[in-house]
Amino acid sequence: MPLREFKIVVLGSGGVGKSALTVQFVQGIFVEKYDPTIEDSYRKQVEVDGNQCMLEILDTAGTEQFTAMRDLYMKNGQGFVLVYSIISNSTFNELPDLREQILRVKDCEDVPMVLVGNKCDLNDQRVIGTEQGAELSRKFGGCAFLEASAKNKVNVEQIFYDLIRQINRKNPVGPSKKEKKSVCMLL
Amino acid sequence: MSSSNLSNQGAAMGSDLFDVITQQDQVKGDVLAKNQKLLFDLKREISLSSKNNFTLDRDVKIIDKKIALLVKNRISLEDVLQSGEALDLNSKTTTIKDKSKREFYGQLFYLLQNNTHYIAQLAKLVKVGEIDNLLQCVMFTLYGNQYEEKEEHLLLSMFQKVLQEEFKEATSIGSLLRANTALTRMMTTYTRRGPGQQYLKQSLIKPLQNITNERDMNLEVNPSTVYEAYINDYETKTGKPSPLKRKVSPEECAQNPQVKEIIAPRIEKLISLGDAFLDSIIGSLDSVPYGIRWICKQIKELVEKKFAPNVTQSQTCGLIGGFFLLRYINPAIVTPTAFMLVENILPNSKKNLTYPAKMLQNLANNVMFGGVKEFFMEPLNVFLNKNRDRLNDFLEKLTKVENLDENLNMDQYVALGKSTETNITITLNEMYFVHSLLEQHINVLAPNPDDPLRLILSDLGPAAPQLSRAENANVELKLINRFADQQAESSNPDQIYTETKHLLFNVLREMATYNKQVPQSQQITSFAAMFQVAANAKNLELQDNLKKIVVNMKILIQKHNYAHNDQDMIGKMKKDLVNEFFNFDAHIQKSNSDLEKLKQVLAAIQEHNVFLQQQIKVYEEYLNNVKASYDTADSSKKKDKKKDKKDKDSKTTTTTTSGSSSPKSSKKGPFKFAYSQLEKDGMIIESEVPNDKRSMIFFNFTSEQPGIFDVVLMYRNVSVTEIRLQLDELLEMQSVGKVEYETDFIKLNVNLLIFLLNKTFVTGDNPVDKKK
Ligand SMILES: Nc1nc2c(ncn2[C@@H]2O[C@H](COP(=O)(O)OP(=O)(O)OP(=O)(O)O)[C@@H](O)[C@H]2O)c(=O)[nH]1
Ligand SMILES: [Mg+2]
Repeated sequence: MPLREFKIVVLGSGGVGKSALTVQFVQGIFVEKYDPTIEDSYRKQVEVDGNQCMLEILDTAGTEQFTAMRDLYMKNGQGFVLVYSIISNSTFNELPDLREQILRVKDCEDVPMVLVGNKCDLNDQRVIGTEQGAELSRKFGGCAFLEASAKNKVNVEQIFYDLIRQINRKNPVGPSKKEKKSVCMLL
Repeated sequence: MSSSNLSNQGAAMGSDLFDVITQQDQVKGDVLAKNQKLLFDLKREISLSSKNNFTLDRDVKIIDKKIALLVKNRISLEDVLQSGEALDLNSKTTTIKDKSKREFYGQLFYLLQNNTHYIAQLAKLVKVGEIDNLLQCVMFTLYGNQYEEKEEHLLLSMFQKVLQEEFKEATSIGSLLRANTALTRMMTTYTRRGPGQQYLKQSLIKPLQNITNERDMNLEVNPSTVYEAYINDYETKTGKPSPLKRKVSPEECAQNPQVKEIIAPRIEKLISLGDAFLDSIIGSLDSVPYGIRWICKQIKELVEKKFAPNVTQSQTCGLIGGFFLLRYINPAIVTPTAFMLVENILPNSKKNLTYPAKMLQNLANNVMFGGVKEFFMEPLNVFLNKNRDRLNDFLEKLTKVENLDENLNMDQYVALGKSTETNITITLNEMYFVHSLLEQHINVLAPNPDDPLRLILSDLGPAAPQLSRAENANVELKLINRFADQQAESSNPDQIYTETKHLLFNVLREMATYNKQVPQSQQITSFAAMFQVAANAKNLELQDNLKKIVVNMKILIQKHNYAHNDQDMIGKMKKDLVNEFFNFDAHIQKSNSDLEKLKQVLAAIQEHNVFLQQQIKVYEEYLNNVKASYDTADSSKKKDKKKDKKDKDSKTTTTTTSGSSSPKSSKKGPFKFAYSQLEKDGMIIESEVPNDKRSMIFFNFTSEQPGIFDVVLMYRNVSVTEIRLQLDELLEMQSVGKVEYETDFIKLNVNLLIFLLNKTFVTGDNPVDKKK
């Protein structure tokens, strides 16, 4: 099986832990320092369900002043990680608009997506309940939902693996049964 | 105020009262006054037009969004048409007919403008969806005279309150000012006002043009991207598959000698471009608007107060840089079109611009490149090392500005000779919107039952609902101080002093004119005489001003110990006035250069306005088209809409005739290619076709329209299946780095496909035929 490429974009407000999640996934290290991102790109090869995948992960700016850059990377992305922080209301409330924008740019209702409530290690400061996250994911057409912690490495790999599976389901590798018909006389 | 009290005061004044005035040079004073009038008009126009642009810009975005929804059948045409109505509010004005309503609103907005804690609190209470509207109203309407020092002063003191709150709640330096909050939005909206935009223009245009003027510049230093581009380039140019293996690890890409060779000079270039940005930003320190520097100063003072002594200089600079570079300068660098700094931007420039922005960003944050983040940025640490001290030094200097009260004195001559009356230009909907927010949050904003806000709101009654766009209009609202006396007592003594000083100057000036017209013996030398003159002339404003001076002086002396007695007080004010105002040459020079700068700002704003108007025209035409197609063809609704959407996207507007309606007889081909040949050439990457059949397969390529190609797969001369290729689509794939074109049974190399199509159909020589 040849290497397949996946373009993944990580989105969400400033400080929710997009870079921390991405770097934890790619390098296995937790970034303590907050260094606001403008746009960083990472690559990592992983095996999912027996297939080799090359991920290109775009870690974007949560700082709202950079939102004008969003259209471009939404256009190029195949799957999206939407991150909020369970200790901040406003980061949660900003996500519906973000999802709207993705659907608009993609001109499609069914875009591979995972909703992530990060910083779940800070349970004592929690303001967004797990049920609220689940509720939002239902509003997002039943998209996948995970609570995660970049710090304690909870559910980090699952986020990206789930997204890869979604992208695979949407555009299966190789020919599907139905499509084969047209060339079956050759085969 | 009793009159006996006043004459007592007058007696104490002494006869040298007019020394201040006599030190004026009348001719130069007049030149200055004229310049100041021009400046005033210019500033007013800038304020109004920038507000108008701000609203237009938002409207354009709203319609754009709605049209996209319409195309997907998510909302009705009526909804869209409604939002397209009456877009340009600038021209529509009205008045509030009901006099008492008008006055109550005047009182309300006076109260909000002068007692900044209401808005400061409100900004934290409103919902996400409301904050933008509120901020627009605050920055462009309530304090909309963007060059008016008094309003600037008030606006900044409102900032101070919100900043203090934010610091009070902060638990660690690392999290301060990082999240998106009402405060950070406020700071950004603030930088969007005239003076902030002017500085961006001045400091960024040159270094930006180093990049945006270069059509072929490529600054990409990510080895994976460079590696892929290198392969694509090779294949599209030669038509041969690259010998390099695709999809290798980033580290391997970085080791590739060709990639290294491409990247090395780019690193050099980036460092010199980064230097150019930094030189220009640092070099224009003196033109950073006062308010922006003042915010930086607040950040520094607050952080030092809160976290001392455990705060390092680099942490403080990180925070200042977090505002100045991250929220102000860098967004303008990565999206210069949104800031009117560059008109059009080439796609490659967009990507290129993110690099200098990232370099400045890490510099400000004191974070080295590499480590666990993007490893390939590491060579750029050279830039960080050599510039770190320089930037920190600049950020420190940025905070060296006077406090609000001191600053207010600097340019006071501008305020002289202008009436003390304030008007704001506000839309009905803005009034109703703010009114309803206040209503909702009244218990938090004014817990006290006799809070002035409560009194005014109860007089006003419930807020009216929002009007439709067509009904909405601008109002010139005169602001009225309902609680004049209480106000003065409660405000800050420095503020009262400054105000009194300028009232005194105004009054003295007016009196000097009067003195010129009467014989020496009747000339005025005391306050009592001034009251007399004002009363005789029935000049109410003069009377009011005199009264205010007397009241203020009393407060300053008795409550704040500003001076021992009236005489002392007057002496102090006179000395200040002389020092402040009568350096005419410097003032004239400054006003001339200000005029020049402001004219440029206005020109830029108007240019942007024209651009926005055009965009709206495009939308209008588009909506008309949609409407027309709804009216005529009901059966093919969907198709028409799709087509219109395409027109809109390509921005070529109305009259694009799609090729399919008038087929051109430009049929080319068929050109025949053997399967085995394409396989050998590397065009076929993967295939489901059984090995034994491959030798009997041919592909027939034909093109009936430019850019569209039909490929028929022939097996023993029988057509088996057909693929339609579009050049646009292939180029798009190439540009986003997709190299495989997948069909149901075969995968083709996009680069080679483009090469082949170009070679065969565009330049007309068939590479395969030739080989035969
Ligand atoms: N406790 C805890 N802290 C976290 C977690 N994830 C991130 N952080 C911290 O939150 C801060 C911000 O994290 P970043 O990953 O830089 O945030 P971001 O979303 O990339 O922010 P922008 O780049 O500005 O959009 C850092 O100080 C991280 O250490 C987590 O799971 N738990
Ligand atoms: Mg980040």
